[in-house]
Amino acid sequence: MERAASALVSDCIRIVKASPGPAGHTSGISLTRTWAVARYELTWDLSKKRTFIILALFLFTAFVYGYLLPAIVGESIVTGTLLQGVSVGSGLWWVDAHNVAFNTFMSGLFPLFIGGFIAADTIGSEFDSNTIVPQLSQPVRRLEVYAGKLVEKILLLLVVSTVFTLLVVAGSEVSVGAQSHLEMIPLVVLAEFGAFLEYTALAFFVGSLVRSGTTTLGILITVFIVILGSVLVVSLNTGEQEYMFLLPTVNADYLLKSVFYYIFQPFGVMVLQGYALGAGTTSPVAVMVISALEYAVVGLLANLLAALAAGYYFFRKAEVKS
Amino acid sequence: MSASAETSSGLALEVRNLVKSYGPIPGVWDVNLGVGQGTLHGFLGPNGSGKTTTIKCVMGLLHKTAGEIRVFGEEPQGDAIELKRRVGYLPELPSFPNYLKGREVLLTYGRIRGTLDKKKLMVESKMLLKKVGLEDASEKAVGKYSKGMQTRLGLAVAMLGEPDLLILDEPTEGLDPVGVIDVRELLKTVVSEGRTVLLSSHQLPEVQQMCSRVTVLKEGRTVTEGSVKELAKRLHGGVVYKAEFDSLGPDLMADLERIDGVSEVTSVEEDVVAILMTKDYDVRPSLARLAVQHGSLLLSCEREEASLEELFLSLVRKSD
Repeated sequence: MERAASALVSDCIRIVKASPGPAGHTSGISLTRTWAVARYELTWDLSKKRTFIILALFLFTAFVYGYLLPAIVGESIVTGTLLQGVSVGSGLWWVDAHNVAFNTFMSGLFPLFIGGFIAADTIGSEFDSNTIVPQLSQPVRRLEVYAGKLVEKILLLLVVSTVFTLLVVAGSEVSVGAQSHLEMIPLVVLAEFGAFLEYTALAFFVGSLVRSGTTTLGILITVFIVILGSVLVVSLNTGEQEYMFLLPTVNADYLLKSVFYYIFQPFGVMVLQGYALGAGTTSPVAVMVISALEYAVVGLLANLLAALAAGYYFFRKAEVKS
Repeated sequence: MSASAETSSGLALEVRNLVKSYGPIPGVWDVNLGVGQGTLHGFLGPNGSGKTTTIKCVMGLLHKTAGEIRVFGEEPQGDAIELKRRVGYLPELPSFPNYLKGREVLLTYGRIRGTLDKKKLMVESKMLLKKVGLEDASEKAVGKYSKGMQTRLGLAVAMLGEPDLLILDEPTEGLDPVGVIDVRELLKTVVSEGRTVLLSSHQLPEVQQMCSRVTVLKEGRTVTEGSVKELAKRLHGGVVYKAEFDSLGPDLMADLERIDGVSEVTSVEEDVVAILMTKDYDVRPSLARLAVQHGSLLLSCEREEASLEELFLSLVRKSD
């Protein structure tokens, strides 16, 4: 990890220090080339059936949780499950929809699908299919190729998070009436985006390491099952959870909630049931929220940095053998 | 070729004592290659001899274990952007995203190369597609291209930015006869413009016809390098006899191989053999005498220059 981060840093330093070359080209990093790779990646992503199927399912979820469920149930379930003591009514249904989508036993599944499955095709599959060869044979830095692919994923995930959130809000507005706390939308989008990006970073790392799209998918699913299963078993038996929230797939779930709780704090005393202090234990949110948020944000940043740096380290070293 | 492209060694590509191993397994272990600037250089060897491994090491797709690689006199370091700008590469099995149209492939890789001028890039793409005979398929998705069309497209991508050195791994693989002729003509034009081509191919007559020099690999090492004529002279005195007998049994074949100066006898067709010589002298009296001794007759015997195919087979079989 240290070597990976050091390789990334030394590359960046070399790029920053690089002097301009002949004919308008610089020997440093080229935003033109990086953007060209991002464009290539975006066009490819949007041409894949898999991307469309995943995105269509995600939008279908937005429809079900944002429009259909509130139409059937009639009001928010937030007060009864995750946020005790806060009466929010149907005006916060859109937050509830996010909670149901991200904080149930399926937590981490959406980030896995959106962030992981799409990104598994990016590096791993390109080595599989040899489409990486024409890219690496061009006068382009590997850092530019890697960064270009990452930039495209960041943009794609931002758009997906925004569209999902706006659709849920719009659906809820139509279904149960005006929604409140809309100022939270950017934070919710950011939280979703962070959760997606963790899986993307993991896919970049695994894809660069194993250089196979199918194997990358398999490893991502395994990581998800092992971590989520471990967290459930450990938390139910010992109540010890905090360190586990640093793990990628759990953090994906936790980050979102932490942001919610942090934002909700001014509304009164809330308790987090079954989290961080063990099953059945309650605690004033003033203490818990700060701790949870720190864990979530630190965990997210640490996971992203580690996975992306290690991914670049292996991508830079990767050979095209087939 | 631009003046800046010229090096003191006169070599566009120089590989010395290249070693590439995969753990304990050696991929190549002593490859030497010198490609003169402005030449079309053949790169030969049986399957698995290390041609593609060598080329991938040159392109930075594989990391060499030991040895030296110089492109236009410079050793590629790191991403070697400036050097790669001068090198075009056609892989053995070019692979492009299936959804892109032929024209889009060239625009995409042109942009990745850092070409900013969209108009210039479009003109270049159109021109290259015409050169490789794909102008009619420019709006067709690559996924619908035949293998030969993909190779042509790969060739066009390799020629983006008018590189000084083209490294082509089996450029006529999968092409129909017309395509093969087109590519030959194209490569001749490229060389006539002062650019350099390294041509890895299994098509020996093609290499003989087009290449001024060849390098032959076997089992991961260079076995010989030079012009076809030089090789022929070095190996067989440059001479091969094609002899037709009335009847040709195994005993006569065995005795033919024992004649002084004969390195190899290979059957060309029924009762016809090619006799490769290590010495250049008239072997016909000996052939006639042996034929009579075995109850046969020497019907005809012609002295020819050794073909690359014969030399190649001789080299490859020599140390088997």
